[in-house]
Parts: sequence; structure tokens; C-alpha cells
Amino acid sequence: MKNQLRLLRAARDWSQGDLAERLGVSRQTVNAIETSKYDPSLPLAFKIARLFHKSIEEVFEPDGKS
Amino acid sequence: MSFCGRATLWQLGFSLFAALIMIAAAVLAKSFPLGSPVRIALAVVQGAASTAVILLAVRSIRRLDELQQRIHLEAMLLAFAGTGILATAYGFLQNAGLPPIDWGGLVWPAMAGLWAAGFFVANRRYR
Repeated sequence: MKNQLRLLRAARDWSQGDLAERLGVSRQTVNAIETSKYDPSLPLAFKIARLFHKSIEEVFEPDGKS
Repeated sequence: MSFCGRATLWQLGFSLFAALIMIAAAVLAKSFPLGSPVRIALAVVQGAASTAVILLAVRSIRRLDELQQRIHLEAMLLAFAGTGILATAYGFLQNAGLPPIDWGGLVWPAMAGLWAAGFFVANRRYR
């Protein structure tokens, strides 16, 4: 699933490690989400959206046409 | 050192200690006849030590985040299925005439080895 995580993180000048610490996950998980190799669970997706004060749909977009 | 670093070191240290206990019990057991109370007690000690190591591994996996738990799940699937396949396949070979194997001492090393291999493969998928 495509997402804006890298852009949102960069806008705040956070490293992947910084973001991982704020979300309570590993840096590996942040990297995997940013590179679309892993789709987060719903609770984690909500946590990410809330951290950036965005809705989930503004952060994540499904692949392909819905 | 971070909390995670200390916890990992503690777990590693305990696992090594448990391995030493198991080896020492195995060596000591040779001095006693089969079926003797001491030998049975030493076997129980070995079982308890290996149980503690397994429970520690489960506890450490529970503390991981969701992606890391998924990686371990995929690795364990490979270990479980792979060990089953190995045992079943050798069973067929045994029926064809190959010498019997004592799987009691081989199952855990096989599972651990396949778990490690599975972890390596699954981990690379998410890099």
C-alpha cells in the first residue's frame, strides 16, 4: 500500500529511528512501511495518522483502482 | 546500554547458562545406571532447563513489534513444516532400507536450524 509516511516524516525532520520511537515500533518496521513492503495493522495505522494529525486516508492509499 | 540491550544480554546469558546445565547434567548422568533415581532426576533438570529457554524465547518474541512477530511466525512455519517434511521423508527412506535415526536428539536442532534459516529469509523480504 502506498503511503505518505516518508514525506510526512521528512517534513518534521525526523529520522526513521525518531519515528519508530514515537510509534513504539522498530526502525525496521518504519522502513518496511515506507517502502510499501509491509502494511501496518489498523491500530498502528491509526497511531501513525494521529501522530501526523491526518486521517488514515490522507496517509495511506490502496494500490490499484478501488 | 538501552533497556532492550540489557534484556537481550540477560536472555542470552540465561540461555547459555541453561545450555551449560544441560551439558553438565548429561555428562554427570553417565556415571549413574539407566533408570536410577539420580539419572532420572538429571533428565528432569535437563527438561526444565530446555523448557525455561523455550519460555524465554516466547516471552522475548511477545515483546517484539508486529512486523518482527510476523517475521518470527513465518520463520516458525518454515521450521515446523520443514522438520515435519524431513522426518516424513526420512521415514520413507527408512522403509526403503536406510538405517533408522533417533529423532529424539535431532528434532530440536533441526527446528532451531530451520527457524534461523526461515528468520533470515523472512527478514530479507521486509528490508
